[in-house]
Amino acid sequence: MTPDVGAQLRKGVVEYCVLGLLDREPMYGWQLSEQLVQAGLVASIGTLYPVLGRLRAQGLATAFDQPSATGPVRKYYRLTSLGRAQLTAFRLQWGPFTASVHQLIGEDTHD
Amino acid sequence: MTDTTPEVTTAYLAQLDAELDQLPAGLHRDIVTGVEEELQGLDAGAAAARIEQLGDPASIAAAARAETPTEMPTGTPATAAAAASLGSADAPPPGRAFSIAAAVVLIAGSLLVPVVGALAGLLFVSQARAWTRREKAAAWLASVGVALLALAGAVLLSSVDVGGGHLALLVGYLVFPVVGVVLAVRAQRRGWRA
Repeated sequence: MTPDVGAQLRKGVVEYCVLGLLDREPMYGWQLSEQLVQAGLVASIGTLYPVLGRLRAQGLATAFDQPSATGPVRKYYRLTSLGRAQLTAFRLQWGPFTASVHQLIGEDTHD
Repeated sequence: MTDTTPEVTTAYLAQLDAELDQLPAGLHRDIVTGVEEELQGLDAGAAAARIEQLGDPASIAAAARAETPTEMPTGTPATAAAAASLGSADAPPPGRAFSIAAAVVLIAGSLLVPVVGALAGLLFVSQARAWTRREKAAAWLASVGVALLALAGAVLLSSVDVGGGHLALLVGYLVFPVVGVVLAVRAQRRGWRA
């Protein structure tokens, strides 16, 4: 896969992956970044925060401060009901979408 | 942050703050605050390890810039909510063609048309989006500085009638294409995103 193809694919789905993570539990920036970097979806927090900014601007996620027992006050992000609705819509389309693409480009399609 | 904040943390935050200078204020603040939260309370060893994971400030800033092509993401309410994003993600890095042209003008221009070509190339580079403000300033300073020094050296050498004047001029001539190549290599490595 050339870097460009990978970058475009990531851009298309990264916002929904953030919504997906936040659907499990509210998370702070580093928590999100660690998981997304590990999955190869963002390069660093430099990529993550603009995505979080867009999600907040679109009303799909909100931020709130929460003090931790041991450490500092952290800014956590959580889904809004609009964000949850968007994620649901995306989930419904993702399966059929990848199946269609695989049908078109897969080298091991059996039918 | 307290007085016991390790030097490595303070230095990293300062560098990050400087690198994020050109970004929208909201995004700049979000990133610095997020990193600050993460480093707070860590001793020097733990902070250094976390900083290693976070990556160097210049590439964090470059990644953030690449993600913010036109407008400030925070504070622009839900205009694109419905269109959310598959379509808008297709664009190549903004200004890539212009940035490549700028590098070519600097390299070829300075070789073909001394002085004028070099200045045109530097002006192009200054307008391009593949380099940070710091890199652009460094490119101007290094190339013009070296060229002026070389010129002064050449004048001095010829006035005292020693050889080497031509060599000094050659250095002043070649510094521009060399700077152009360095800029092109740096930009190419990160996909022509600043």
